Amino acid sequence: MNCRKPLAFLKRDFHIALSYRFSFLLQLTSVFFFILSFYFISKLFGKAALPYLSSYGGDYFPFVLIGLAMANFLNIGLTTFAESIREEQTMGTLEAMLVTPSKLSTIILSSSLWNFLFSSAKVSIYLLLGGLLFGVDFSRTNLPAALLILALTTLSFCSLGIISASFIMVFKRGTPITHLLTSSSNLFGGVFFPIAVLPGWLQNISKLLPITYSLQAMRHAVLNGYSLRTLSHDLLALVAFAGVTLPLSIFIFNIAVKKAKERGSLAHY
Amino acid sequence: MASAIQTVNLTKKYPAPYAAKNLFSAGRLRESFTALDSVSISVDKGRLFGLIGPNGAGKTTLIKTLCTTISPTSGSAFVNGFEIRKDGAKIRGCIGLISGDQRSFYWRLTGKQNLEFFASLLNLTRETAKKRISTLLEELDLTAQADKMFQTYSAGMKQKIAIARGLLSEPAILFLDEPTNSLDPISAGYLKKFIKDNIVGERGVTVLFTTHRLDEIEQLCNQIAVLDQGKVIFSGSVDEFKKTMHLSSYYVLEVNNIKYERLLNLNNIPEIKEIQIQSRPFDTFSIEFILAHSDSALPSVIDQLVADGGKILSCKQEESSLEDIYLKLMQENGQ
Repeated sequence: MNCRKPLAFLKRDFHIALSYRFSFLLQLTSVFFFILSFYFISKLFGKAALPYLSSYGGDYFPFVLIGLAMANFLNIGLTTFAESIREEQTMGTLEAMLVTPSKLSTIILSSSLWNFLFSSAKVSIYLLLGGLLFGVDFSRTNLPAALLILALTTLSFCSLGIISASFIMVFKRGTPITHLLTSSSNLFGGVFFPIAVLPGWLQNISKLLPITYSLQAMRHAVLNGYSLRTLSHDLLALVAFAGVTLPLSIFIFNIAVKKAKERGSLAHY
Repeated sequence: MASAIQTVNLTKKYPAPYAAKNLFSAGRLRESFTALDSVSISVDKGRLFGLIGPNGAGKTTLIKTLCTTISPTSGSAFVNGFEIRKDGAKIRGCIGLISGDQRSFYWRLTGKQNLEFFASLLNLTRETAKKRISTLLEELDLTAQADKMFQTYSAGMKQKIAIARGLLSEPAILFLDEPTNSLDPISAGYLKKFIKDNIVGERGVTVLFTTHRLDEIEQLCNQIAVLDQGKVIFSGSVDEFKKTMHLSSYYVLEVNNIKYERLLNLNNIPEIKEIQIQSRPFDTFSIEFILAHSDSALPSVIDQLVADGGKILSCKQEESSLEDIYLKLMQENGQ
């Protein structure tokens, strides 16, 4: 895949997003109000949450700020592929793309780029606001480790997102994977609270979710500046997860495309 | 003449409406619906081939199968020399598809932005894309509107953008799936002229054209195929089609000064194959009839009418329209 196609998709989506200027601005400004709410919630907790947050520096606001930022990536990774397919199907543009020599995988991956870019911009705003307005200390951040964690997290979430897109390709509506993973990740993955507050048997569910390792590693890398060696346990878990789910997702997606071609329903919705 | 498109016993059976049991069972497709049944057609290079048939006959399935977005159940098909199962990407590199569905564009982008986007999917370099888009917009008289949002275009302009997109890759073969569907007569006329003079005439593109408007087939196509319930029930030239159905012409006689009962004597003339008598004002009758084998029986018809006291007001020979022939064929095929 050369860069021209992904760039064409980015340009297309940028122009479309810009044509809805008001919504574009609203999405960016909502970030501020969202994290402001959590800032005041953290004031409410004060030092009461300290026993659970000691390994992350003891303050709730930086903890949840990183949780929210990573949950953003989780949501995009899980939903963007399925949503892109569904949107192109309903707009009637998928068929027009499918009669070009471009591969379906290129089309689907490139269609999702804008969402990732926009989400990254939102996450940057989260972190910038956290640092500049709310005094979160990022001075100890291990940036290379954080970027590696982000890449592995994106790969893991995208694999699940591709499986979710396979459902859309065949069933057209309803992605059980997205629903199940989004709710379970928010509840058991440690987005809003440390998993240590969960009963022991529920913590076992947390260990099956990639976001648990992503969040743990990211918080340690950003707030405590842990080295790659110290983070190796979480990183290996993410590598193993991506190593299994990525080939599996590609396999399932290919079956879904084959089925849709047999049914003549590639562009149906 | 070499074939641009060739299908051999191409069959497509759609599985039954969604059943979870079929999800991972490619070989067990039950209660299927046959959309294409052993379709064998051949389209010569540089020709305009018309595909006609009632709704649900399989025209769109055939086009989508040839465009490789639907996989066939059995049989084979070659598009520009490439096999549809093995060479999907190569086929998609040398074809264009224009349908009557104007939803296939981004309505909040301009016409030009739409074309630039699809040009990148067609693997065109930036320079080539720019040059071709500019030429096509000019040829289609769209340069002035190119930077306006697609959603502001009229149906005719939207279809012109669809044509420009179909021609961007300079395809060897163009599939036109009911392209004049939503167009007014002026826009449809422009499009037909552009297809005939520019796309086929100047560019030498092979065109496979589906439509419900039989006058378009008559005006445009060199070869035709009639599909019904997934089967090809005729394939050949328009003239051959007319000859096959023995409906190349019919006669219309206007007579008066004769009673209706007397006109029924015409049924005794064995050369008259089909006859219709209609009453007109002022005791006049219009008689339409087809002669079975030759025109030599016409004097016998006139003699009979005169002998029965009729006064011949006019007599003319009319060419059967393609629509008459098509309707007759469908009637014979049980539609």
